Amino acid sequence: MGNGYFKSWQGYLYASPCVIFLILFFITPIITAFYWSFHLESPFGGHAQYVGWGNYISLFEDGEFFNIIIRTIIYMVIAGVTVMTVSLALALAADRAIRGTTVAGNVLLWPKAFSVASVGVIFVFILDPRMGLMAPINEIYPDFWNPRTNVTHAWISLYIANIFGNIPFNFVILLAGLQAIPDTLHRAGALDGATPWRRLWDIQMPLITPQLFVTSLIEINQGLVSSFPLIETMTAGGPNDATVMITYKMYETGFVGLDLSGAAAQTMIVLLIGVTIALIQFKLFGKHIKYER
Amino acid sequence: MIENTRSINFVSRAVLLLGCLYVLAPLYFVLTASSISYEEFTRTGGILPTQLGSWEAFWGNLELAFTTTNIPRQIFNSAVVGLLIGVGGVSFAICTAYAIVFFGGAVRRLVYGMVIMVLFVPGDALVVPLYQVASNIFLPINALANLFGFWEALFGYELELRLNILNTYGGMTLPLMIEAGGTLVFIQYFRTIPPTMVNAARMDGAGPTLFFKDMLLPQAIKTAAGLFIIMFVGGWNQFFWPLVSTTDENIQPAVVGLRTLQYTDTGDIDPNIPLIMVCALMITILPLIITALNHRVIARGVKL
Repeated sequence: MGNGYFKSWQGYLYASPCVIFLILFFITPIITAFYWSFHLESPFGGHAQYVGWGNYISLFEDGEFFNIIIRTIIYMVIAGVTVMTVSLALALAADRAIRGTTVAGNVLLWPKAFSVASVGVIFVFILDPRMGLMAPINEIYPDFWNPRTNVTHAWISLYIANIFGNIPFNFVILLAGLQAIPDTLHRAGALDGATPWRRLWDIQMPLITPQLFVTSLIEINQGLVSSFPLIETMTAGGPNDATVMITYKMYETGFVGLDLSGAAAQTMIVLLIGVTIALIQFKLFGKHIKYER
Repeated sequence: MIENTRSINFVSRAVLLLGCLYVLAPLYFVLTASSISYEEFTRTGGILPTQLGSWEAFWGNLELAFTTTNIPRQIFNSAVVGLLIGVGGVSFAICTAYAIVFFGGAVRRLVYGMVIMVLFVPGDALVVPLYQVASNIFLPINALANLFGFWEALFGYELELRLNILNTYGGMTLPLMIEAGGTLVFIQYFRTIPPTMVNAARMDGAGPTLFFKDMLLPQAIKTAAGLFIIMFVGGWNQFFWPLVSTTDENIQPAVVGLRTLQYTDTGDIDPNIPLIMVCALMITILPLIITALNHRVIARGVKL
């Protein structure tokens, strides 16, 4: 922790924005969600009615919500793995310090300038079965590519847009990790006859475990919530509600269906999943990270 | 590199090229689609043009965007939101980190714990209850005062303060100013400041405020500027919370407006894709220029 140089009431002054903001916009919302997840709004106004686990039970009563949770978790894993694979490949390539790396390093950051929603709007057009890139093929083989009706295609288009938006963050962090590996290690490995491929697995990968850990933690947790703008702009949950994920469902329940209690219960479940995943990752990766360089 | 491996260099180059294509292709198609007029677009069957059109068509679309859509006004809103989130977030991060690193006392541990907690909770997960809070910012005070009928017993009525910040710039930006990542960046930075410097300042009689203003801020200005750029672009591109917390089109940021435009049913068979794409370009161009020019700053900021 810090050094505690100053012992003065002014410390509270500097901490006060943080405390006020967190109480207002972090702790109060969590308590509110907790409260409403156990209460029902009375239809004719007045005070809330305590219903115990009722809201949670009615959520899980139809198997659909359980499906949505499973679907969300699968999406989080696949989205995380695909984004990190692509970014790792790019970082490894950029690490070879060949000509053009600087330009590529700049261009690969550009997706950061796009809002996730804009990315969705642009990609849904490019991947449109009738207007997009695949249209000529679809003319010959109808329904060769049709994210509007084909569930798999809809998922693939979500992943494509998701990878685009998440390249910069992962690329930068993984590249920084790779470049921090001392050249002497590579030389020593090469001297012992290790091929570049072997060095990748035995030198580079183990040494960037901290970066892999951080990016996977953030990436997977992001998938939980950041899927919303993509679904909203690309599939609207379709085809046949097959791409409805938990945040989208939460939004629909709360702001379209105006069911505060149901949305609050879903918020609690999102929080639970998010925190659980973060903790699991700490347990799983925490031990294997090689921090010392 | 160590050995002269042309094959690996070739593969690396190919991978980088593919990556750049992945990033540039959408941008290219935005340009092709926005440089074709809507008439031309429908005449060719409403298919994505693969070649750049004409300047005239592009200006035509741009003019259409300025005359028939709310996007120009909403881009101004995006800028306001980005600035507020940038300034607010950086101030939040600096103050919090200062309190955590340079002060003793119990509050430090509490604040640090809360910041870490924020990191664990996925952002935007709280939009539903946040909406409740924003619709009446006094919600926590009312709830506390009325707990166990406390206020009623004292004053004979229930406390019912109301202040709705939905549909305001404040409502859109205040909750997003909580910047846990940025706070950690500053905590790391402040810890590298040698104790001798603080002691020297104290020996010269500088209190916490003077030290903060005259010694810390001038040093931290570069880090702060980097964080500001990142938060400005991030704020400009916010979607979920602005979508939820605003219904007034004149205050919505442009990204929300773009989605509205996408959903607007024109009644025609083909949606006005050239118009939508020129709007997407208008929204993205400023953050894109900022990103391309400051790529080192952003890369460093992302790393921390």
